[in-house]
Amino acid sequence: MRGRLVERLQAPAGTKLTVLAAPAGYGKTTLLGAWRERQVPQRPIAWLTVDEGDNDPVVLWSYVTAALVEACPALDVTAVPGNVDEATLMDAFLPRLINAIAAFGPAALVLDDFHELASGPARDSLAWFIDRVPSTFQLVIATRSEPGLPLGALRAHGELVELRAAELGFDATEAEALLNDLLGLGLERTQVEALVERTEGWPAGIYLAGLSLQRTPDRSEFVSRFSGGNRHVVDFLVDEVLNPHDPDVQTLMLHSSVLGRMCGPLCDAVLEKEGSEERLHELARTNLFVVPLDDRGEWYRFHQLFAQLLRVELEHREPGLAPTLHRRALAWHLRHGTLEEALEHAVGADSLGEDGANEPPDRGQADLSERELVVLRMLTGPLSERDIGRELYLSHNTVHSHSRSIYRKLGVSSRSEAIRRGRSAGLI
Amino acid sequence: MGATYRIVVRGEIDDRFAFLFNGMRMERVEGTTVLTGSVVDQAQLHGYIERLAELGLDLLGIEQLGEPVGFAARAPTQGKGKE
Repeated sequence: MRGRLVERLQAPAGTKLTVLAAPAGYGKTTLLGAWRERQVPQRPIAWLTVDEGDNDPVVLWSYVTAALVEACPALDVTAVPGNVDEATLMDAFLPRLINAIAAFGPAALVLDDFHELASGPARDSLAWFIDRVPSTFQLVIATRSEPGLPLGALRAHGELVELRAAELGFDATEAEALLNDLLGLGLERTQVEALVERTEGWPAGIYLAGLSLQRTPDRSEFVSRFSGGNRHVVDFLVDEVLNPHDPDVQTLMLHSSVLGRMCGPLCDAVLEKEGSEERLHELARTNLFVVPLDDRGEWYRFHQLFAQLLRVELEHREPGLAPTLHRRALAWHLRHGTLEEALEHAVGADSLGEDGANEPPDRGQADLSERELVVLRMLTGPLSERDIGRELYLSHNTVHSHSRSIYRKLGVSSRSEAIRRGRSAGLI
Repeated sequence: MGATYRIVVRGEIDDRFAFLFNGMRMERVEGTTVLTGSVVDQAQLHGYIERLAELGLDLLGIEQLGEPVGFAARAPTQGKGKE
């Protein structure tokens, strides 16, 4: 379907960096997935989806190295040691990695969601890497914002391929392939053109329209109603996409929208209702916005844009429920030892509804925030505050100020007292 | 640092989106939506812009309208340089 773009991604020899820069919903990840499938017979392509925890260069490069080794098992490099400092990483580890890549031969690395990486040391280390890596290696990044890498120099040397929103948008032929071939809607060419015009070729908008149309009896009425109005595409379509589903499936979609990723048991816990796994499978089969994260059909995530729309709808239909859902997700992740995600939900659970209607559960006099509870739980283990920070992707200072605040609220002055008091208060 | 901002995006969106922007006022004007309200600091402002991007909304304009009265009244010093 996106043949012309996959061609563009077959960058000429000597291309060091390919940049896909466009807002949410332009199909960057999907396109890279299709390109990767075509490329893999010729050279290995490693894949890393960046998240905001990767802002520490040591964390970033340990994930990059792991992704490279997974794609290229013969790559002669050891894992980044956990206790390495930034200077050693730059002076010793990265040069070794570059040598290993040179010895290995043609390969590529995709960094998806590159915008999650804030400017700073992690981005600088990548710029340094791109500058020195041999031209047999291609770095491909997908990003919603300017990557903040030295694109000018690469462009001048013919080492850069760029694809931006103007090129990533759908033309009528591509929209027709999506709507008629993939979704089987059998629309007239003029109807397809009207949808492309209304969405300005924005792939997510066209797909949302397609999902709505699948369950709409009078398609031409829908197309003209949609084309005629001034309402933004996302505003118009969220109801249309949700409403045709069973109430159970609607609830699943709305309530799981607070989750970064989801599996059957986690959704069951958040919804306090069984049967999520089957509904998830069924949804994933019919909705491209439900993205599988593994081959086993266990973990999924919503497309970010779709998740955001669902959260808007959740707040509209069930105001103030989100913190409760976060709290259930937090409990599940604590039980399963996935602490980084537990902490994310702790942040969500701490945010009260606008009217303050959402009362946090009673924790006696201590009244620790959910974030502090996660840190308190970590303090019962063997890790130092610095290591806890690493584990939770928080700075040492943040962990330290959380634990000071915990001590203060519990009226104690040491870690062991805090643990004792926490246990006797039933907090941990 | 708190101040009132006006943010203009393309397309008309419903008030239900307002909670993503801490209840900023939303007005729909000829195919655009105008969000007006106070913003605590630059970090919050950037958060709002990021949220617009997540929704695929095009940003048309953004301007500071001056500090809200409530904030100025709370500020400890008089005669601040900013309008």
